[in-house]
Amino acid sequence: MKKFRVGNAVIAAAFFCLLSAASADETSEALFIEASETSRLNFAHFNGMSGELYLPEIMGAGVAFFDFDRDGDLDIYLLQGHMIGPGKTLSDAMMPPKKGTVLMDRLFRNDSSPRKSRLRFTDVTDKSGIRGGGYGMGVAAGDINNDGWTDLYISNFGHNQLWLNNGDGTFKDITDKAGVDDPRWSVSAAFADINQDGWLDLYVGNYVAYDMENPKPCRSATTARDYCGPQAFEPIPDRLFLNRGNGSFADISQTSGITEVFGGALGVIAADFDGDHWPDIYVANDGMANQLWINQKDGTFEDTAPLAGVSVNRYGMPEASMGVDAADFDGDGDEDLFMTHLVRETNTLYVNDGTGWFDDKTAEVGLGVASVPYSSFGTAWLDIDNDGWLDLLSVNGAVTLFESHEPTDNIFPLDRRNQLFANDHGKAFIEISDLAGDAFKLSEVSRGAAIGDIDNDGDIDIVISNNNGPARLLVNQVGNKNAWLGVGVLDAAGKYHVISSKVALIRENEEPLWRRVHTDGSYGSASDPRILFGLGGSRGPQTVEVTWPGGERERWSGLVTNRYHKLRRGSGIRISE
Amino acid sequence: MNGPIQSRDLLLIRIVPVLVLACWPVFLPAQAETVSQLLPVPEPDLQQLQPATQAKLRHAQDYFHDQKSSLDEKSLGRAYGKLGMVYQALQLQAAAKAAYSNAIMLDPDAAQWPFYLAIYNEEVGDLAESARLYSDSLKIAPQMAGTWLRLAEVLLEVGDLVNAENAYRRTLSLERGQVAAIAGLGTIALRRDQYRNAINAFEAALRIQPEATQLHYRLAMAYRNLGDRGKATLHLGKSGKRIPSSFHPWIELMKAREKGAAYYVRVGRNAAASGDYRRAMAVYGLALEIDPENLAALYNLAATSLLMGHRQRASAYLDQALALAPDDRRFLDLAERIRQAPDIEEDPTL
Repeated sequence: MKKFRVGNAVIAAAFFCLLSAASADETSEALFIEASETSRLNFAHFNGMSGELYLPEIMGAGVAFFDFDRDGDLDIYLLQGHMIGPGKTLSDAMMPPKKGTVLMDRLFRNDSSPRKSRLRFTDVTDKSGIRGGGYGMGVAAGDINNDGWTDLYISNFGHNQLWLNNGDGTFKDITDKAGVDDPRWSVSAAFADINQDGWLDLYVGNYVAYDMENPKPCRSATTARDYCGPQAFEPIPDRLFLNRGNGSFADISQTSGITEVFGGALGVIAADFDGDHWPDIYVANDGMANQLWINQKDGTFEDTAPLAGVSVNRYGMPEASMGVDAADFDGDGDEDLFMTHLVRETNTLYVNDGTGWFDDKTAEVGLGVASVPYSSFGTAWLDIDNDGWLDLLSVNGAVTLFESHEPTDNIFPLDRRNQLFANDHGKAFIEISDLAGDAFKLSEVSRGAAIGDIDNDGDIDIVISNNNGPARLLVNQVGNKNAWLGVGVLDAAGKYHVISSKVALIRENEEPLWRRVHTDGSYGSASDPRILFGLGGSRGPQTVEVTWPGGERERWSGLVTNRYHKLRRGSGIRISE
Repeated sequence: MNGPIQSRDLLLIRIVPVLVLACWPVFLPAQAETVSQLLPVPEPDLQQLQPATQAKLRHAQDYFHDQKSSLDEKSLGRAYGKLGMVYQALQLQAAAKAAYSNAIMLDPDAAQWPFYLAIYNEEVGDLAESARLYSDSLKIAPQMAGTWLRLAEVLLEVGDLVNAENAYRRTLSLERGQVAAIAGLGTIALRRDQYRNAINAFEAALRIQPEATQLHYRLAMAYRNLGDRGKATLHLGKSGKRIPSSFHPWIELMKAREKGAAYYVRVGRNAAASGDYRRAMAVYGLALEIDPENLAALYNLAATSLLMGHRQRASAYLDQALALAPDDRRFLDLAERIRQAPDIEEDPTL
């Protein structure tokens, strides 16, 4: 413990140093500033609550960072809700939306000028043709037809949608043709090429069977009426869709084996957990055992979660898993798992031993106690200060009225503060929320969180979607005080990001820094597929090595720091075993 | 406070307030000083709750308010503590917190109130404060094995393995074979990567309490990390949700508040009907602890005492009942039966 305290002091001091540097220009005094209003990211989620305490109304919604128009900067997609419940109209809303609000998902184009430091967004939903009128839960981003234009899969409480990007600023609903609808309740989804045929496949996490016509009344421990937990409903199996490469998908849910065990899925992430260069899938379930689907390389998967040590917590109890992210936080080259949980449970860090077996090290690294008072949803590994170590974001919001504890006049008292944790060399984490600025003093009902470099300035920014509240754009103020290297890992034609590729930054006298190309993870959200390496004080030319899905490797050297590079497959130096 | 001053002559009326004001800190009675520091206990919105819960709460609140003005400092502290137990049992956390805080202030020698407030802090996630309060409770009542166990569990959660281990060992020194404590030592060994020690501890715990199926998971992880995949798989197959059991009388007392006095009166009647008078007496006593003015509990305690041949004890309970309901026909009939009953030597174990 003593060692950690010393480490904590060092980490805190390092962040203070960065703060001092950042505050020198007098416009920024925190790790992040909230810029939704100044950038015209005008979006407020509406959950349609009418006092009936329907479970779906507190579960949405996610958010995506993705570059839909290929202009080199990230755009934002936000999911919306609407009135919910039989016969309910806006006159029944307890917290009505602002007059004139269109209750549909929104697409915001990033119109920031590279010459001006000001961020600016324009709502282009109508022009885009996207009609996201479902009760929104989650979004996944990926290029399903390899044309270089990122497509969107929208998970709803109700029918899902696949929006094909036409490449001209518009999208087309191809859900039926593609055969990827699921009319039940889906939340998180993930794109990954599970059979390595070059086409992105789709895993859809499904939650519970909720009958809106016959909702169960639930009560808290105080006997007051409250939102139900997932245990009140039957979980429903997930879906796995194999991309045929012609715009349609085959439903291989049954044949792949992923319907053999399931819980109420809320978080989904694809990564190579056992080091065989094939993507596996981890599913975080709410209140039931989680699954680790290890790819058998023949179209089937085997759930190894129990023996791998990631199905339940260290005591053997299933937890209410919400969001999940995977990354190499300790610099040993494998994918570790972090997932968020319900109040009175800790969030959980599972550390990979490199073979796909994990140990729950939550308490050892100091991530347990700080999360006990919160129900957490979206999460992400992100290097806030570009020191090369992945820090952690956890966005929070309660799920029951009971959790408020204190008597309140607030009719929707689920708001909580969000949290940031700094990584002390892969050995400990220290909460730095109080250093992070006013954005982390806000108390809102946060659900989705996506990360990416929204202003292309070389540090990682955050967008947070709040239930029944405004979207928040948190712009990093300190990361690019350190050196950085950005890479887009692209196919041979340089059109699309090759999901599941692993990238190592080769360092002298130090272990490589490993990152993975992905958009999935968090809670119902999609992030920037580009990779941003924090270099600390190292400003000289850099070398990176890409391990493509399947295991082929290529190396690029002499990459100039503080800029983004496009690494096209085949343009580097091939490395043989 | 005001009565004697009002009876003085005009001079005194003018002088005394000046003196009192001048010397206020000296003359202020200890109780008044402490009472002025008491936290307001938030009144939960009863309309939101089920009728049975409302009734329990109203009863506890009314009893507390009736008593409040007539109690000395310590008794008022106890009354706050008991009110807190009702709130905590019904999960009304904010009210429980305030009531316990007041109880600690007014009745600082009682170990229960910091104990219960520690549980509150566990519930809301302030584990450091919870550990501090368990330690406070143990300073007053160091013989409470269950409190050492709860302290150990909190310390384990905050990652203080050394002190958690000490607390588990104190638990075991007071309650030999305490399964949760043995399992806790196993968990510490597991965290220290001492897999063989962990296995020994978990297997010892399971020998004592085979139904604690949750321990098989920890055992499986220890075997896995030792490289014994076969045994790991075997124990994974046996793992379940039953946690090692632990008993703390104060927790049982607090939880009894949720069920209410009427529940325990019914349980007592069943025990009495089956001839188990000793259990009936214990359970009626619990009902009375929950609700000191419960007439059914008092009547049954008196009647059962009489059935057991303890006339004096029966009279004592009946007197309490008659003080509350002097015209109750049942009590008057029972008084007559007690008068006619022969005296039998009292059983000191009751």
